[in-house]
Amino acid sequence: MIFSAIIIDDEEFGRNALKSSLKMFCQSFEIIGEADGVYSGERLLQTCKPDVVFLDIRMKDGTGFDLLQLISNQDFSLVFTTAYDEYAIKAFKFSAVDYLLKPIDPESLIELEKKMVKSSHSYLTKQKEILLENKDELQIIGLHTFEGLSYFRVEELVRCEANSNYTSFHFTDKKVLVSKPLKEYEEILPENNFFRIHKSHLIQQKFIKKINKSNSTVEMYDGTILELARRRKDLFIDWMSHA
Amino acid sequence: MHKFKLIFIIVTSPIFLYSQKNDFNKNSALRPTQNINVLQTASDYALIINGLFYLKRTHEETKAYHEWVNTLCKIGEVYMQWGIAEKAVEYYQMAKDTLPLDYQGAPLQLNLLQSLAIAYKKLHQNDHAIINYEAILSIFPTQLSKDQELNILNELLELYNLEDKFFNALGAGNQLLSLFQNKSDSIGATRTYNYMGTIYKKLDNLDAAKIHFVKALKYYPKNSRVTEGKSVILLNLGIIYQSKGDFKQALKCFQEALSIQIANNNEEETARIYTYIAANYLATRAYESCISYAQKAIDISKKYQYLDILQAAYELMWQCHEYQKDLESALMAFKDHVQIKDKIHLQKIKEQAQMDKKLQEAEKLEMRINTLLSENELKVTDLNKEKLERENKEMELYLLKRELELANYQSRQKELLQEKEIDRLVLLEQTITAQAREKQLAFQIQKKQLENKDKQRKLDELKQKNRISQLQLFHNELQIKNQRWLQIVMLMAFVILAIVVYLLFNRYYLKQKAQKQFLHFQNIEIEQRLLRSQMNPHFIFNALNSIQYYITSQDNASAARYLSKFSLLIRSILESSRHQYIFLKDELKLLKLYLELEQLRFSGQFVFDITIDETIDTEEISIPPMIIQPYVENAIIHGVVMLNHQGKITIHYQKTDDFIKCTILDNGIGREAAGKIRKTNNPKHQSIATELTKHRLDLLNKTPNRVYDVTIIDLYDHNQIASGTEVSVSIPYIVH
Repeated sequence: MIFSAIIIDDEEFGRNALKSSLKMFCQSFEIIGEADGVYSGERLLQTCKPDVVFLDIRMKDGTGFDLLQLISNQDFSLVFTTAYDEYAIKAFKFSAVDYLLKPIDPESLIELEKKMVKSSHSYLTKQKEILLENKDELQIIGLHTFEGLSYFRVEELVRCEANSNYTSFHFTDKKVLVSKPLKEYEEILPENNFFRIHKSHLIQQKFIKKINKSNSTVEMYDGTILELARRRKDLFIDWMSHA
Repeated sequence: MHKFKLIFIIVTSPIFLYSQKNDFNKNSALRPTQNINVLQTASDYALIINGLFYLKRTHEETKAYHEWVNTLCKIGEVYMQWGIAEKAVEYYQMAKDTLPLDYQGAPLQLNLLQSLAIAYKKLHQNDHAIINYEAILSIFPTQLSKDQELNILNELLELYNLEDKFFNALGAGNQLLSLFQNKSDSIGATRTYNYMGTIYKKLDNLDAAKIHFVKALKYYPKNSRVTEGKSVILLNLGIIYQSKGDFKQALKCFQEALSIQIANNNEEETARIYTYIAANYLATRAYESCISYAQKAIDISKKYQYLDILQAAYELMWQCHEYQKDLESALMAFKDHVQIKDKIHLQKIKEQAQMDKKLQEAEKLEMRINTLLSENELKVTDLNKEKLERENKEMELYLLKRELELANYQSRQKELLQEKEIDRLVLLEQTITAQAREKQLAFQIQKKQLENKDKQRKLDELKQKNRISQLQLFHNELQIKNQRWLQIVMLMAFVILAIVVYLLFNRYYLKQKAQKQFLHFQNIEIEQRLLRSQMNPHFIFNALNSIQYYITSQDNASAARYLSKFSLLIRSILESSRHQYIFLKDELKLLKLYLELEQLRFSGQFVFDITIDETIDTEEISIPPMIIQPYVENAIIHGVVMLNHQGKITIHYQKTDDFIKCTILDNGIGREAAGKIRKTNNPKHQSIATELTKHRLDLLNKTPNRVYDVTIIDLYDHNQIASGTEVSVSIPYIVH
């Protein structure tokens, strides 16, 4: 199966590098067009309907997000490319959007190829919305559950509990199990609102009901009483006062 | 020496007395009267007295009154012999008091009373003497011998006269006269008549006086070789006649007396009688005779300096001359008279002064005696103390010591006995003291013993009290000390604590400060390094991406070139990041390499030019590395790359006094346009190059005394269209 693709990148070297890498490692992508900026990219998308868009974040006339906002109906799979952009990468992870880091890793190209098969159209549209919502502030988190990718509002997340390589997300009304370690979510969840009180517990501040310092426990509004690691106690109290 | 002897006697005599009583006293003291006659030195008297004292004590103990009184009398006798009437009186009086009232021992009592009277008379206590003589006469009216009675009456006559008891005296005189008449003792009668005559004269009974003087002359023994008394009586009689105005008889008497005195060669009396005669002539207005006799008196008196006679004679002279109207001579005589009078007066004063002096000396002597006594007392007290102590401690040692002292005393005694030439006064002192000492010692020893015991007891009490009070005091002191100590300890503890706290705090503070500073500089250093190494990762990855492109596009030569250039840049950056300052030369190399890589990345969309002032030696000056890199990057990405045509970046270095001024000039789209583009992007995603550089410059500013700044000028062409940006960065430098 061949996927049609366009590359939007302001740097010629960047576009050429991706093209030659795809040619070398992953032949299922056929490059049908190239653009060197936000506006040229938008124009290109009006003329062709690719399956995949490789989109650079930083361009001289804007960002990849700017381009996403310009298009009304997204019917392509979106893959961000970036050499180095910490915040953007966080957003991608949060929104469960695919991305490629430059220079391109051939294995990530093959992985991407596999994903492309599964993706449905509605999923792509939703992905775009969520990404744009998370662009300035991380609000909706995309979690790969056993039923597939689901999006949840971060404001409803009470706590995360580690369970070996799984992580259970406890929202106000539901509980979700994800096959990724807690550490990955700890990194992307905003640190102003979330604190890891224990090896197994990451909690959101606004759901803390009571802190029992004497026996080092934290009681949440949902009634659970969580252990507060002694080593993190001071940091936790400090964080509580600053947050 | 004397003092020593005195002390020695005082100290040793009691011991001696007690130990030597048997032999010595029997030999010498038992017959004191025999011995008295041979007494010559003070030590003799002392020995006798000591012996008598022993006897006295013995008799006192045995109640043998007779012997006792006898001994007391003898003691008094010895004192009389010695010339110490006072002591004699004391002992006689003691004997008198000791005698029982009904004592019937005539000779003893008679002797005692007589001795007392004599002693009192010697002390000029005439009334006491009189009482004792009268007592003899009243107690023994019949037992007295005639001589004794005469003697007593004579004494009484004299004493009554002295005491102005004239009628008593006359009574005694009459008794005497009757006795003399019975005894036909003409001399005694003469004397008594004469005496009585003087008394009558005193009583102004001139007739009676005349009768008695005449009788005295009458009884005056004829052919007596001693004519002196007759002269005296004749003079007395003459004076009486004179007083009665019988000048002829008076002259007769005077002339008779004068012949006697001339015969006796008694110049003074002769002169005196001349004045009497002169005075007699004056009274009879025989001025010539008066003057001649007065002159005679003057001549003799001048020769022998009989001042009183001279005075009287001159007085007669000037009176005579006055009567003769020979005023000149009268005046001369008067002058002489006054002169003599003054002389007498002066002499009297001198005598008085001498008397006073003598009295003072006597007082001094007394004082010296007293001091000696007190010294002795002290010595004795010390000795007694010692003795008591010794007694308490070692009786045997004490006895041995006493024997030793005894031996010493005996040898000393012998020495004393051999001594013949000792001053009487000193002897007196010694013996007075010795006697006084003996008595006082006996008394004092007892008293002292008692006192000592008492003192000892009191002392013990006091000691005990002292001990108690000391204990209390000690306790109190201890308490106070403890309290004080506690206070001091607390205070010290507080002070120490304060100091310790202060030191700790200071140390902590300094440490903290140092640490802070250290951390601060470390921070600067770390941050600098971080910032340097943080050199846009985007650039790095893009560069790597470019290399990947050359590889994947199988342009091996380009890939190799790019890769080597890139690794050279990375190496240079890594190297420079280890130094705070690098040579400008190296910086320029680095900058050039970076710009070339960017040129490659952006496919030659811009050209660049780096210029340096000729004054700058790039191998001499060092600057912090890659300060301007972010501005250069900005100039590329936000400036020249945005252009539709090829841009140009010009970098110029110039040197000021404090800085290397680096100007980055680009002909790009300008900050405004670039800002617009950036605004459309996520603001959090925009380049932070300038911020980083500013931060880095701020950090450099924090190192002492340096201020670095960045100025950005937006450039416009003549149409007011943005034509690029000029950034000036002041970079600190070091000259090597």
